[in-house]
Amino acid sequence: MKRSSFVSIFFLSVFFTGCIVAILSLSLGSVSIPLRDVIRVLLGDGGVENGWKIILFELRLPRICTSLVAGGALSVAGLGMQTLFQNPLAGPFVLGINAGASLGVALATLLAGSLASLGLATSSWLGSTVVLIVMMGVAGKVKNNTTLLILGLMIGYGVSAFVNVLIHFSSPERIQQFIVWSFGSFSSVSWRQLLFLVPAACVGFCAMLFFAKQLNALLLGEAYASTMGVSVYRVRLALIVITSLLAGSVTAFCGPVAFLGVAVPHLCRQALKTGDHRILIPACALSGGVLALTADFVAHMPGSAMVLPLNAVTSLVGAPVVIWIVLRSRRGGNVS
Amino acid sequence: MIKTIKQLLFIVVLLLFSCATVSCAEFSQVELDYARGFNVEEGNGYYVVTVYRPWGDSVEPESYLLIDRDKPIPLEYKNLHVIKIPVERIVTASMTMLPFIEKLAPQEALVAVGGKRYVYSEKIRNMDLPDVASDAGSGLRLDIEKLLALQPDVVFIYTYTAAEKESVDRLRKLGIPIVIASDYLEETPLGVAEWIKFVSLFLGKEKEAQSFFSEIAESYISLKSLASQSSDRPTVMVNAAIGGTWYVSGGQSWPAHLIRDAGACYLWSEVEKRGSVPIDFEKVVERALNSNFWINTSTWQSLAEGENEDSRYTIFRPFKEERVYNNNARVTSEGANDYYQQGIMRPDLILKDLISIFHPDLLPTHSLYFYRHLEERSFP
Repeated sequence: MKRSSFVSIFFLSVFFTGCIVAILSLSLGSVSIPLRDVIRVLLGDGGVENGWKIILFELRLPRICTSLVAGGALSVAGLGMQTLFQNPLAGPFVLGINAGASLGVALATLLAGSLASLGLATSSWLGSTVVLIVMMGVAGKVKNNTTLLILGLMIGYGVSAFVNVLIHFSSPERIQQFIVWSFGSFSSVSWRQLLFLVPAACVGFCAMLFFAKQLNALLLGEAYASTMGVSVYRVRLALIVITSLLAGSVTAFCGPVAFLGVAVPHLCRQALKTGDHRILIPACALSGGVLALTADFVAHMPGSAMVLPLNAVTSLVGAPVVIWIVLRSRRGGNVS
Repeated sequence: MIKTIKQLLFIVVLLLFSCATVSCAEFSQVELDYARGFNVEEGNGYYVVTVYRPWGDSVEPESYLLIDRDKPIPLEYKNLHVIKIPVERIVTASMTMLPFIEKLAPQEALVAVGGKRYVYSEKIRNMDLPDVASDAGSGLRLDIEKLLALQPDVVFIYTYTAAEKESVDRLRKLGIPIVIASDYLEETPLGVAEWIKFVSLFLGKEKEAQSFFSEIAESYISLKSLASQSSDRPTVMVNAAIGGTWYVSGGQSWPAHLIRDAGACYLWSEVEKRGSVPIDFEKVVERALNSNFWINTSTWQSLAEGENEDSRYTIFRPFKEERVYNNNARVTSEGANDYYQQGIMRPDLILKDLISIFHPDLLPTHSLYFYRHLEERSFP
């Protein structure tokens, strides 16, 4: 089979899987709505009296959009970090963005007690931006990407420690609010918040695509990339800003969603057998979105009133799949 | 002859005196009407108090010997936790014990609290008490050195986990007289309020507690019967979502009992739980979209605050019709809420608020005490 047709088949099959899961997510959930009624209500006919219209338009549709955007954004950010650091364990949060966002949210919920959605997102954003500025300063001084990675992890640990101190001195109710935020969720995002999340993710995605060639060069090593005329320093700074935009925005609205950012790039590399970022970036965006949507569908346990924490589902269901795929592969999960 | 009469009189006086001393030392009987979490046995100069479930998942009860300061410890009870009564130096890390202590104990008896910033009572906040746990700590987070230095006669505390309970046992080995109060595990509001009798045993104020509780119970029962006269049963939704998941109170919880006793229909009465249960937002929409009232809405001070938190709250009928009430009329700037402190001791006051919300015609002159009516849909 020709390589281009293989790639097309991959994209089409992931797309159709996404469509099926989206249709299932619209119809099945804690409240089960027959498919023909879903179509009827979506076309503006009824569903007012039993709340189905609200469930579909205000809860399920925004959740589906959020899952697709957030999953895609985290996966693309993870891909960028894995390439930059040449480390298969790197993810969107290695630069301490997650810890910075947690600190912002911890300060807002644990000290101020405010959980207003946009206020929460803003505090999360502010937290990750502070870490971003620190990391950009560090990136300007440090020559080596591994050193940058270590420093990013250390800053993350330091910030997390500060969050722990805040938690230690907080009341149980506020701790509960913070812990629930840390579980991650696509359910709390409304249309109004999507107006912020979608443009941020789109800008991040396009910017990452713009750097696809430079990322390909980085796969051959920093020294080689430099000889090819790539300014490693500039790419490094750009990637830090893009990752912060992508991962920081998702964390602001959905909490620190684990696993997808690390796993999806591996899955795409394994499936497509390529290291070309011009293919991998859209592949990660699409597969990450579809996987996130599937995880959200499982977390809502159709037929039950209960909801599982999203992070538990992404990791518990996702980790064995990735382990299986990585072990099956002869290449053992190389980043290139 | 006269000498014999004198001797006889002396013996009679001696007998009478000794009987009098015995009857004084015999502690009065404590009757419990609603509380199911503890039991009291009276003895000669002591009480044996058993807390059946010191913490949520515990299987072993804990018994305390509350014994007169001058009495020797009876051999058969030497394995119990001993508290010398009446206590003169009290520490509490349990906020729900605080109103009982404030009601019954002399002011100087309270020597420290845990989680001082969560104290609502202005009187106690003005007492300049040392803080033995900055976060209203349970067993794991108490300041042991401070506790030892304070030499309290009793330390009231709550524990939620086995690890916290273990930590309490370690503190006891150091000689700190800890009592685990599990009033929050009671099912009914009057059951929780009756724990005032538990506290009274330590202070020797059983009669005061008895008469105070009888008044509360009488007031509660008469309010409940007033509410039952109304033929209208409005439906009530509670709480708010956190991260897209709605934590509703279980059907056996304290708020659920209060709602039903106030003559309303609690929407999750069939959920056989005492604590909160996480429920999907859409399940709440399905059931509560057209409910009549919405109460206990997190920390909102106004409808605008709720709308800002999640714009989807506006779809609920009580929100649209501005029939949302929150139990935070009495909170400090630090977030201490009197509903969870004085309200524990005065469920009748909460019930009165709820009846006046659900059936305003039954209590037309009542002005809300713990609750506030949330208005202002838009920002100023």
